[in-house]
Parts: sequence; structure tokens; C-alpha cells
Amino acid sequence: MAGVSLQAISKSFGDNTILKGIDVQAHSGEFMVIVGPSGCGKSTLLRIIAGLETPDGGEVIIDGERKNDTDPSKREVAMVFQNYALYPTMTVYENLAFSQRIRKRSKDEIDKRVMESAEMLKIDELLDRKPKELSGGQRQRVALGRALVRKPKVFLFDEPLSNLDAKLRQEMRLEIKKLHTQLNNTMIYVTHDQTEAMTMADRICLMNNGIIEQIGTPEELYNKPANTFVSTFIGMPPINLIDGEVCTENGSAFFISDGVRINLDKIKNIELFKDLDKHVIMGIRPENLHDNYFAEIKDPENTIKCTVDLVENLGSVALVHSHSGDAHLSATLTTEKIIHPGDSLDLIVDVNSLHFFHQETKERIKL
Amino acid sequence: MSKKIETLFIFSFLVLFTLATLYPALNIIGISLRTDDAFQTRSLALWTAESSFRSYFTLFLETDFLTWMKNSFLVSFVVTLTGVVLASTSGYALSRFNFMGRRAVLSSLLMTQMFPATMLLLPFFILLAKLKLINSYLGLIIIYSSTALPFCIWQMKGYYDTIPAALEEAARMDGCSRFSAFIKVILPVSSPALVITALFSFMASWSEYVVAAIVLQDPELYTLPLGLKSFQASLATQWGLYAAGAVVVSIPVTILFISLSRFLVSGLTVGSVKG
Amino acid sequence: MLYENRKALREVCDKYEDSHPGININLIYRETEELRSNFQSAALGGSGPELIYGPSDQVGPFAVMGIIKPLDDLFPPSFFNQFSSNAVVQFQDKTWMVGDGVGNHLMLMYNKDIVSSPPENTDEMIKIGKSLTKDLDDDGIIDQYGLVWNFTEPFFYVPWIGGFGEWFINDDGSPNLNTKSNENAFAFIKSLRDEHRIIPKECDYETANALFKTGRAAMIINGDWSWGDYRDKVDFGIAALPMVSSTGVFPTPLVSTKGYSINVHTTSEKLSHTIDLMTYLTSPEVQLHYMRRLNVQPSSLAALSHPDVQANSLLKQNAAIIKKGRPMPVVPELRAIWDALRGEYQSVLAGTKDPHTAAVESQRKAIDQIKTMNLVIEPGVQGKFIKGLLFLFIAALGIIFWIKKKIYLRSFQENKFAYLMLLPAFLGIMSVIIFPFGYNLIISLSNFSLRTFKDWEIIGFHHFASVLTDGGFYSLFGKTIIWTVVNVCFHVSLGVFLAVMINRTLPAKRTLRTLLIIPWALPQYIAALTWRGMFNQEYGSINLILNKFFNMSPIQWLSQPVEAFSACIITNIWLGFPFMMVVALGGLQSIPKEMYEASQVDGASRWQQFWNITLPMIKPVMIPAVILGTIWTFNNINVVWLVSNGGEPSDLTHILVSYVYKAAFNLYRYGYAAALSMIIFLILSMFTVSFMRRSKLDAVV
Repeated sequence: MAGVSLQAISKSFGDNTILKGIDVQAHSGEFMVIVGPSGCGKSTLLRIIAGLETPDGGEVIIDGERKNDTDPSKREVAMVFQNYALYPTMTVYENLAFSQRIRKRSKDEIDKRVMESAEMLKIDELLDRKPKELSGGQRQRVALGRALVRKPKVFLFDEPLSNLDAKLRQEMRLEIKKLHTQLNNTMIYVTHDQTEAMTMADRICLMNNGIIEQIGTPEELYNKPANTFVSTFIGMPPINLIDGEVCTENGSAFFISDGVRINLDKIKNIELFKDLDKHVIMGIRPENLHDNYFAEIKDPENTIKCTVDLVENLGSVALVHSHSGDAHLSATLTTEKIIHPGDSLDLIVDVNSLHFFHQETKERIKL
Repeated sequence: MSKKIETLFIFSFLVLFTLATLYPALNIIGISLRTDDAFQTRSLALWTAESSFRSYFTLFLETDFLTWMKNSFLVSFVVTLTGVVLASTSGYALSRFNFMGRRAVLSSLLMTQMFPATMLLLPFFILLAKLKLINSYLGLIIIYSSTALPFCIWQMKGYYDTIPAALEEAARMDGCSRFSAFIKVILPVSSPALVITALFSFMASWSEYVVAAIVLQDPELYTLPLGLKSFQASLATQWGLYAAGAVVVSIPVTILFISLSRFLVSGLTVGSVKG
Repeated sequence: MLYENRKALREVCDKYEDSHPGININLIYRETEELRSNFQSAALGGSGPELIYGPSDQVGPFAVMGIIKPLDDLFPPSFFNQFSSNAVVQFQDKTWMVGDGVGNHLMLMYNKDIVSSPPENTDEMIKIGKSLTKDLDDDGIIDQYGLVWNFTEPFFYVPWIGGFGEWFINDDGSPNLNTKSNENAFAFIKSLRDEHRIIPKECDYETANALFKTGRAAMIINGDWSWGDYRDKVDFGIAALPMVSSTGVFPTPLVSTKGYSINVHTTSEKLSHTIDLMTYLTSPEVQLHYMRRLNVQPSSLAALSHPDVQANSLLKQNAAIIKKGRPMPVVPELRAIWDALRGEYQSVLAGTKDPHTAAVESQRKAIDQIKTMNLVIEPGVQGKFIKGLLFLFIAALGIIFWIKKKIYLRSFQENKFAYLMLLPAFLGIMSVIIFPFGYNLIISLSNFSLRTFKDWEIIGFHHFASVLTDGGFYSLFGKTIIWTVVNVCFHVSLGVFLAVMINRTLPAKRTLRTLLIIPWALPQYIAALTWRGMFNQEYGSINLILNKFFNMSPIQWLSQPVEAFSACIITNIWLGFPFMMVVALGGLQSIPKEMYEASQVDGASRWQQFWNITLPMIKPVMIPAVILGTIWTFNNINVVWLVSNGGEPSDLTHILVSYVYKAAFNLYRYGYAAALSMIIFLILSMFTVSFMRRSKLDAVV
């Protein structure tokens, strides 16, 4: 088992700086997901680990050894590509066996390894087929298998599921996660899909514009987003962000913006009030807004009167888009009560789950 | 129903057009079956009462045709091999690497097609004479392989551009060096383009006359076009023999073309512009 | 050289080899024109065969270029004395060639089965000719001609100038074409064809030969070389060309010799062997062998007096005919005269010029051409300047390289793999294309021509200036553009059209596609020659088909400028459309079916689908193919040269590249030809760059 450590990695293509000094460690046996919007540099980072790109500066350390100048073929790292990159002229068996043949392993050994991986991925029926005779899901399994056969120190995944349909994607997600528990290898997984990141990762590294926004467990990113970017990127449907100010009235603290007024007395944190009368951004996740109609304990202080704009029915819940004054609020509500656009709606805010960010820096205000 | 009629209409048009297209080719066969004296005839028939295979017998039994053929195969084979090796490697370099001078190389490849080939003959000759390569296949092979190269390199480069780079990256992750990734993974995938490159190199050498005429002097070394031309004297061409020779010369290329026509459509990527 | 003659030569060489162990004679055969151009190149490269055997008229150019040795010092005077005088070829007071036979002259041959006795004079010839030019089966087409010959070639024409009194060339080698005799001879030949109709409308050598051999022509004007061919097929008699009735003078055929010259690069031991071999090859023994085998008139006095020669009636008659002839001039200027005469003569035959104008024009053109041919531009200040500039340029390149070497070196190390992959191909292309290109660039700035063959110097941009100020260049350029545009348009439209048709679900789709590719597969020179045959006015399939199915009167494809140019274009369209078709087919495969389905739902017609989906979708693949196709067509010399037989009629079917060939190899104007090539290159580069810019394709590179 081996960890991967990247120190101060920078990379630019021409005038275009892709990575601006990245420091991140994937511990041995960890499932690390690097997530971010497209163009944030996450794939380049992965390719640097693989050795397919050379960093302009910084150190790539795999299993305690500096690997900057090691050819990808010698890094003992396996990679699964987005478009699978199966060798079209070879059968599935040959695809799996290729890396072992290059290493001149004995026929029996190759056979053993190929069969082992094939069974693990349930593709042992397909060994004689050519890639173009396979379905997308099957190809994905073969691509996984090819990495598996290697028994590498580190697995790298470059958006492996993005070409699959939603159902298959979910299935493969579980499959990969299961593999990780079985093998307990270090895995570094790049995706732009926050759901994948949340469901699969031991730790997430969230990137944007060539820098790391936050590294942490999924819970940390969800509960304590380091800034507004992280808060919007993580969580589905995305968080509501409302510009406003914090002030005191009659000894109570309030968050006030056009259409929204929330009593903050329950928050015992002083940090927030340093910024008294200052502009802040308040974040509230849709799942933390509740319909007053069903609330057991009414809290009129923290109820926002909204007008419904649009309702998206998701089955068990409905995503209700509404507004109050200038503030737009989306909330996930139960479908027990049928809501129509134009209806008025009272939303109760769960004050304990509020997030606050500095207006200028967009950084989280610790509560 | 109307669709069927339309198809029938188009089909018959195409059949007629194809026949018209083939007529000149059939015409040569017709001449080759006539005697020299019946060369000028008003008959449109390809096979007449006087037709015979005599010219073909003469061709194979009384002339050095078989030697020429052997020579041509030898030269064309080596040229094809060299052409494929050189075009596949340099096309790869041009497709995958962004090195200094890449643009210059690509443009000058296109430029080479623009200079009238006639004027290259004299310098060819001087160069070969200096290198003592006159009257040797080596000289001929160098010229043939290189003249076909620019087009073949473009062609190979165009094809490589359509192959995702992830393929050789996967191979490198699997333990291949750059070169072995190219050989073991990219080349097998490029077979349609390789076939086309081979075909063009073969054509370039198989039916070339002008350069062969200045390089080869020993009749033992003659290639087919040279031999064929020797049936043609300014004032007394042996037309029957010439036509028979022409038919035999055309057969291998035609067979190659026919058997490879499916690759032609998929592998000819002069045009393939990467989006 | 005829096949039989080649065999005979091999026989005597074998004999020599047997008696001279250790000596190997290598025979290299080349057609007259190629013999000349190849030997020139070879001699320039410092090699080539030791002995050159060929017609005497090449002596002039070779001697001027200094690529053959004068023979006077190599052989004793007694050697030359043993030949009849017209076999010892002299030029500028030196001897350059010794012939092994005399002849190559034209005469009248008649088929004894059809003509009982040959005509004495032209009136009689016309009379006999008229009575023997017949439509035997009354289908409106003539089946038997009174007279046939390759009358469009100057060599076959000039005897008649003599018959009308004057000669086409003066003793000093200057042309004498602006004469009454020339006018009369022009008119005479035209009248044979148009007024008396005893010769076919179009008749090249092959046609004449075939007609006579198969008994479909009563008389033929041909040379002694054809006897061997006719001997077994026709019972023929020979006679002098009939006396011109209006003047009472016999036409004067050109009498020449074919003989041996020695390469200037032959030295020391090889030279003595060569001299020995040449002595043998011209010996009476060998000549008698040729006489017996091929009926060649010997040049050796000893052979001539041999009883076998005396007893040979054919040769005896022949000797009388030779007496009526005049020796073939050997001056290099002869080519220019031929060239000027050919053009004007063909214009007369095509009916575009009257004999008088043609005579005046041919004289003027001949003088002009001789002037340009012999022009030696001395290197002046400009030459020195250019030389300096070239030197500076190379030095500058070196300096730039030196300054930037670090960057180059780094780039090399970063992409070592790419450079290594590129290296072998680069070396090949470098030596075979870049070096010759540089060489041509220098030649184009030099005065390299006939008179400076071995000591040319850089003179500057004279040739470029003379190309660009010559009106002829612009008309050639215009023709080349027509040629290119028409060809490429047809290639593309036909190719795309066929591709779209074939791409539908059709029975036997693959077979059709495969068969349509065949024109591409055929070697170009074979295809071009076949098409030339098919364009023959009387016997070509095209006219036959037009006549049979469309009831059209025969078109003079090869002797009228516009028709001849069209013939070239038709041939090239045939050769070129499959390439475009295949490219278009490749493009069509990449169009998803859904696009058509979507547009069908939108109610688009077939035609709209074609314009709005098919064309835009295949455009990216077609554009590079069009660029390549344009370049190839622009520079395609094969088709034009072979179909029009080197620019016939009257050099009116030339495009730029074929004119380059002509200037370099027929008129020895290497410097000029190189400059013209550079201009072609520049034109094409500009076209490509602008075309790519316009179609936003420079991103490809």
C-alpha cells in the first residue's frame, strides 16, 4: 500500500496556467476524490500523478519516492480513462493481459491474473469479444479489469463513469466502491459530479481554477464548506445564498435582507457578530427549509413568507422554487400538500444549519 | 413504389456510367488481342475474328517481360516497405508532438507537391551520380520512397489525428515505452491508413517511367514501364505487344485497388480535419 | 530504333564479346528524344555510356554542349576515308560522328497489288490517288486511301519545300522559311487533303503505317527503316518522291546517317576499348551483316562495292533516291527551325492561317527561337549582387542558428522521440526534394542553356523578368487555369454526385464502387496513350461511337486546338474523378443518419437535404482534397503531353508545366525553365495559402 503526495505542483500550457501550486496527500489505502468544475485542472493533476504530464514545478511522491522523472510505465500506477481507451484490435482477454505480456510474465501467471480480475468484475463471459462488441457498461468493466490485473500501488480514475447512463453509473459507483473495500488500495478518482464525490470518497479534494478550495471528508465539505464556492458545489439541489446584513434590534441579533429576516439569537457564536452591520452572505440548504404547515413547533420569528414560482416533483419530495422580496429560495418539501405556482408559502428556517460567509472574501465565518 | 422506381433509375444510370468508364480499359484489352496491323480498325468490338492471345505469348515467351516484372516487384516491394515505415513514424511524430518546426515541416510537405517534377530530374541525376547510385536500385528506391512520402505522411498524420491519445496513454500506463506503445497499440489500429500508404507507395513505384529511365541503364535491371516503353519505337511501335504489356502491368495495381477499395473509403484521410 | 535493328546490334556485339574476352558490352536503348535528354543529364552528372549511337542531327547540340569528343585526334585520317562522305558527320570543322549506314530518307512506297507503277510527278500522284481513294462498301466512309503518311511532322514535310525550288535552311544554319516554295508546299499538302482528298484528314505515323500494312492505302511516304516491317506483309515497291509537276523539280528528302559518337567522359583504358569497338561496329563486316539482315545502305566504301550490295536491287534503287536528297543539317539551330515550322504548318493544316502568313511567321519565329536558344547572358553587376546576397543569406541562416542554438537544443531534447521518428523521412525528402529545389533556385538565376552547358554562372533575375514580360506566359497561364478549374470542377462534382448515388441502398453497390475506381488504378501513361488512340479522327472509338449512336460527323480531336485541349481535359477528368469520389464517400460515412431523418421531419426536399446537410458535412474532407487535386492537376504533365503529343497542334495545347518541359529539354533553356518552375511554385503556394485562409483551414497545419 502506498500513499501519494503532491507538493507545490504547478503546470501551465503556454500562457494558460492550469495548476497554481497544489499540495495534497492521498493516504495509503484511501479513496480520494478530486472534484471540480470542468477546466479546474483536476484531470491535469491526475495525469501528472500518472506521469503523462510533467509538472513545471513541485514534487510528485508515490510511496515515499520522488517520481517526477519516472516514465509512466515504471510508476506502478494504473489508470482508468474516461473513454475507456480499450485497445480496439485486441480481445477483452488480450486487453487485460497486455500489461502482463509487456512485463513478460509467464503464461500461467497471466492467465491466473486475468481470470481473477475477470471474475471479480463478472466479465469472464466476454473474454473472447472485441471492445466494439461490448456495451458501454461492459467496456467500463473491462477498463477496470485492465487496471485490476496490474495489481498496482495506486489506482487512478479519470471520470470513468461520465459516459454511462444514470442507472449504470449508480451501479458502477457501488462496484468501484466495493472494489476499494476488497482491495483496500489507494485510489484517486477524478470527477465533476458531486454526487460521485459524496458517495464514494473517503476524502474529497475540491478544486477550482487551478487551486484547491477545500480538502476534507464529505461530511466536512457538506457541513462546513470553506467558502461559498464549496457550499454551492457540494449538495444537491444547491444551497440558497442570500446577501444581507447582520444587525441587532432590541438586544436580539437578526439577519436582514429584502424579504428575509431571521432571528439569530439561537446562534451563540460571537464570531458572526464581529461583523455586525456588515454585509454577509447567508447560506441555507433546501433540505433545511420546512413548510410551516407541517411544522410541529412553529417559529414565527424565523418564518419566511414566500410566493411559489415553480414546483419540481421529484417523487418522494418536491423541489419548490419561491421568492420573498429579492431573495430566491428553493426548498425540498414533502409532497403531502400539493403546491401550485403562485401559492403563498411559509418556510421555517432551521437556524442551526445556517452558513455564513464574508461578503468580500466569500470565506466561511466560523460559528 | 416510387422509391423502387427511383432506385431502379439511379441503378441503371450508374451501371451505364460504369460501363462507359470502363470502356477505355476494355479498349486496351481489345487492342492487345489484335495483331499489330489491325491496330487501326473501325470496329468497336473488343473481340473480333482475328483476335488472339498471340501478343501475350510473345510477351512472356520471347521478351524479358518476366525479368522486368520480377524487378518491378522487387523495387515496388522495397519502396512500399520503406514508405510505410517512414510515413508511419513521421506522421506519428507530426500528429502527436508539438515540437519546434512542426508547422514548418507540415507546410513544406504540402509545398513539395507544388514544384513541377520535370525540373527535379536534372538535380536527381547529378545527386545520384555524385553518390554513385546510377544504375542501381538503391538510387531508384530512395527517389521513389521519398517522392511518395509527403502525401503519405499527410495521410498518416490525418489518420492518427482521429485516434484518441488516451489509447497510447493507456498503453504507457500498462508499461509500454513511447515507441512500443506506438508499435503495439497505435500501428495495429491504423491498419486502414497503413494499407492506403502502402498502396500509394506501391503505385508510385510500379508505374513510374521518367525517373527509372534516367537511373536504370542496364537492361537486366529494367522495371516494367521501361520494358514496356522499349516496345515503343518512335517510328515502329509494336502495338499488340505494348497493349498486352500494358494490360499485364495494370493488372496488379487494379487487383490491389479492387481488393483494398474498402480501406480506401475508410482510410483515406487526406481531408480528415480534426475538429 | 526498331526492334529488329536492336536485335541485329546485339548479335554483332555478342560476336565482338566472343572474340574479346573480358569485354562486356552493355546496350542501353532509349527513344531518340529521350536519348538526347538522358544523355545530356548523364553527361552533366559526369557519367553516361561511352559510345552513343543515334541520328546525326544530335551531333550539333552535343558538340556545342561539349559532351562528346571530337574524333579527329582519336582515329587516323585513313579511318575516315573509308566511308562515304555523308556518313562522316562534321560540325564546326571537326568530326563528331561516324555512321554505319546511310539513309533515313523518305521515299514513296507503293503496294504493288494496288498500284502497278509509281507516279512520276505530283499530277500523276493525285490522279492515281483519287482513283484509289475509295469507299468500298458504300457506307459513306472511305475504306482505302490513295496516299497516307505522317504529313503533319516537319521531317515528313520539308522534302516538298525542296520540290518547290528552294530549301528550308541556309548553309550557315539560318532558317529560310519565308519563301514562295514554303508557301506553295503548305498549300500543296493542304490541297492533297482538302481539295483532292487523297490523304486522310488526320494521319499520324501509326495510322499511316497500319493502313499501308493492311492494304488499306495504295501508297505511303516513309523511310527506309520501315522496309523490314513491310517485307512480309505487303508486296511493295519503292520510288523517289514524285517530281513536283509545276516546277519540274524532285522533292529533296533529308538523308542522314545514324552513327557513333564518344562520350567526353571516356578516358584512358576505356577510351582505347571504345575506339576499338567503334572501329568494329562501323567495319564493312558489320555493315554487310546489317545490309543482309535489314537492307541498310552501307556507308563503308568497301561494303558498298561488295558484290552482294551491287546485286541488291532494292539498295540500287535506293541509292538513286538518296542522290535526290540533301544531307540532314546537324546544327543545333535545326531544332528551333523544326519547332517554328511545326507550329505554323499545323496552323495551316488546321485552317487557322493562310500559307503566306504562316511562311512569314515561321521564319520570324525560327529566328526568334534561335536567338533565345543561343542567347548567353553575361553575368553583370546584378549577378555579383545576387551571388553576394545568396552568400549573405546562408551566412545569416548560420548566424541565426548559432544564436538560437540553445532554444533548438532544448526543443530537441524535449521532443527527442518526435525528432528521431521524423529524421529518416526528413533526410529522404531533403535529398530528393529540397536539394533539387535549391539547385533549381540557383539554376533559375543562372544563364544555364545550350551554350553554357558546362560553365554557367549566376546572372540574376533575367529569366524571371523575361517570363513575366512575355505575353505568351499569360496565355499559357490562362490555359492552365482553364485546365485546372475545368478539371477540378468536374472531378469534384462528378465525384460527389457519384458518391451520393452510390451511398444509397443499391444492389451491387460495392461492385459499382470498385469498378468506378479503376481509372485511378491504371498507370497514367497507359491510360493517356489509350485515350489518344480513342480520339483518332477516323479510327478512334469516340468518333465511331458518336457517329454510330448520335449520327454526328467525326470531330478532328487531335488537329484542332480547342478540340485537342478538350481531349486532354476529357482524359484527365476520367483519370481524376475516382479520387474525389472516394474522398466524398469517406465524408458521407461520417454523416449521421439522424440528420437526414430530422430534416425529413422538417419537410426538406432531397435537393435541400443535399445543399444543407450533405455538402456542408463533407466540406471539411473535400477542401484539403480539392487543394491537393488542384495542385496535382496544375502540375500534371503526363496527360497533356501524351494526349496532345507534346502540345500539338502548334503548341496550342500546352499548360505551364508541359511548357517547362519543352523549354528545358527541347530548347535547352534550363535557366528559363527553372525560373518558370519557380514561378509556378509561387503561384501554387499563393493559391494554397489564400484558399486555406479563406476556408479557415490553416488550423490544420
